Amino acid sequence: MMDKMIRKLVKLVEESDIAQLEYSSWGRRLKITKRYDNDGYHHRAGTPTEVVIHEPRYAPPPSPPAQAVSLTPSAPTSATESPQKSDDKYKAIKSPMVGTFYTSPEPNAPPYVEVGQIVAVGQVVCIIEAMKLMNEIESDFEGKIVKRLVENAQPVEFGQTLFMVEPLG
Amino acid sequence: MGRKVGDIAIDLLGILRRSPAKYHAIPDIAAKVESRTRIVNDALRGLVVWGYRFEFDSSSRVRFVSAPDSIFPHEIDHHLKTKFIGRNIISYFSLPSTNTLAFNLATEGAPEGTIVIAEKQTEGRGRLGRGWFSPPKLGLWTSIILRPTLPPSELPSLSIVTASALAEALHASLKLDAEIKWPNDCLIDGLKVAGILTELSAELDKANFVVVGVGINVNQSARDFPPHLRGKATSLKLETGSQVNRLETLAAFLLAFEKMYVEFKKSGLRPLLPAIKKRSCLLGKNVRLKQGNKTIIAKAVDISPDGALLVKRRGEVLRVTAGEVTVI
Repeated sequence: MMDKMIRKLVKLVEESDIAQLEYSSWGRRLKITKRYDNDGYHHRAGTPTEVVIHEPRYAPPPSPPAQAVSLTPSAPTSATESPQKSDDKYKAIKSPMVGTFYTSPEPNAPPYVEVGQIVAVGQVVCIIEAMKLMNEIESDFEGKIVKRLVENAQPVEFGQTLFMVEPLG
Repeated sequence: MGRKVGDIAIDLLGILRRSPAKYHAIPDIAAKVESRTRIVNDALRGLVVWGYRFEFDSSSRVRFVSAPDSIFPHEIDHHLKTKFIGRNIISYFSLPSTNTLAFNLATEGAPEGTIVIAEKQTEGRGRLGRGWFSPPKLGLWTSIILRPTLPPSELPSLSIVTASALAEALHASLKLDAEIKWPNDCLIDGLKVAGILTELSAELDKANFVVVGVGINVNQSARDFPPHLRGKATSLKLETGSQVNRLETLAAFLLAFEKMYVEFKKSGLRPLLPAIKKRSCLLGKNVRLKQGNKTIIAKAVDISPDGALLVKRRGEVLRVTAGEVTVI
């Protein structure tokens, strides 16, 4: 993405009521987040603005670029989580969405996975419920579940680590 | 413990939607949903992530703009006009098969009218164990749990009742000339737009419950269909030429279905036959019937009050209750 355009978008965010702006084009994602004072409400000129660019993992599709801009209202940011410290040999299964974490398909059913269990690629490990829509979360890799980091029925954030997995082989 | 942000999000949506032209101050909304300003802001942010759009004025007041075409139960509920069909909604992003989960839930006592819906199916099933192509977010993949008190022998007709309700709904809401292909498909211009899979749990003289599974191709483009379905399948988007709102389509279908199902429970198939025959694409046509390894060619002439297809061959009328029918 061109630097000029990023600068333009950053300026747009800084000079407006927008707290966060995500822009995607050709599979690249740009996220601009305005930082807030401790009281959370008012942004003062000169407060740093964070810019994150995600490069596409795959080649963009040959179809015309899908463009999407989503605006998030100016609002206090919730306390940012400190990044999950993890041993290098473990991999994390992260939540792809904001929602409520459930270990099992129904309240009285046994959990999808237990600590110590081996999971396969594509195996369902938990459910994240968002506004009553159940999302089954699958493991992206084969390995042994070494830790569950979220209690049943607790809210989770986007990108929050749910399980630590020790990869096999 | 306080209410979940998701529940507050649903409440605040209700408030904003009631007056979409009006901007609401966030502290006022917080008071109305009995929560705090910070939580309401969190809920709004969550809603934006889920595809809702809002507009803010210069004093940070908020107004509802649009909702996503996603199968959130509250979103389906917002469109529904039925009395009991779809009033209990089980919604998943991904399921092996909505019919399988509906069957299990019905076994555990889920009430009549419960629907199970998923954004995609990984093992969607059609009749005779065939797969049903159910890509994410492009179609409606849903199953309805029913508890009719009719004799089990009458219940297979529910497939054609469902197909008929769907054809009516597509005609009413999208002006599409959808046809019914006995016993369980819905076609537009000869291409399959929807299929129905009815599964029954019954004892000898009594049905425990019925699960009616419906797969509707809604927003697929031609290239979204795998090669083996091209030239056989179509979608509502391909037929109307524009993106179709899935939730409105679902609501129109469930309303038409409820009306026909209530009639069917009361008086069986007979009062519904005129509507079914009107939209049947087989009647009056020469068809090829394949039953097991036997194939005959005959003319489809009628649908009987027990749901059988009547065909005429060499002056003789035959009843067809199973098998594969193709127009020739």
